[in-house]
Amino acid sequence: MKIKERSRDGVAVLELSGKIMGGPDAELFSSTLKSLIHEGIPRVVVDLSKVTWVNSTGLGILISGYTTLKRNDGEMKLLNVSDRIESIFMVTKLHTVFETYKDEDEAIASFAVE
Amino acid sequence: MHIEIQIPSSHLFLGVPDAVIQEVGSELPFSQAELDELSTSVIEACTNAIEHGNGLEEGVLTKVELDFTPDKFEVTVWDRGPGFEYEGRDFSKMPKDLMQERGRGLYMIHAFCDEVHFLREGDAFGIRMVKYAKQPAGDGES
Repeated sequence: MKIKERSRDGVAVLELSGKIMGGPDAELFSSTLKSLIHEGIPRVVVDLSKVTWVNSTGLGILISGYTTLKRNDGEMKLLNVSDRIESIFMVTKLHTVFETYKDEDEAIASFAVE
Repeated sequence: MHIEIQIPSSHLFLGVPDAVIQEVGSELPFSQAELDELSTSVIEACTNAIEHGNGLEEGVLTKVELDFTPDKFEVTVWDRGPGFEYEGRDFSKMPKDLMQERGRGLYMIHAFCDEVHFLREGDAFGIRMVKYAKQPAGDGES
């Protein structure tokens, strides 16, 4: 997995690419979020448009990130979830946890209305 | 038909069985969703084989066997580990804690596959996953 980072309107946008599957991915995602929290940017949009697939370890990485941000008064929202990943969220009921968007502007704006 | 691949027991190679299933499946009457479900299951099985069965030792190969007919796709993943006690366990139930970070793999496999079998052969432990095409061969869209 690779992470490309940028920010918009006080919200970090993380563009993930490749596969979310464990190994070094957990540390990479966790350290990226910790840096953002340290910089005072705990509101994060994770763009999954370039993610081929995620396994159950990868789900754990996303859950861990979600929990870490929540604990630090932040939030994680997901953008561009593929049908393949959506079906995994459905079967694991994680669609009831993760807020997902198809449009980046909408995802960013959703933080303002909270 | 039968295809056999062997991958080093490292996360780096988890994409290989996915690529083979997608390629082979594109010639069979399976929907993309069905192929993704099978492939996700095989990735889960390979993750378990690589991490728990073969202890992330790259020199130990994880074997993946694919057997397919026009309406049936069967994939068996073998490792060299001791396996686990699967008799009497119900893998069809979701883990109780929605936010737990691990422990969903076998549940996902059971949710996505039509049949799941655990196997022991000599010093190898295997899991066989079967998926049937919902659209019968020769009954394609006109």
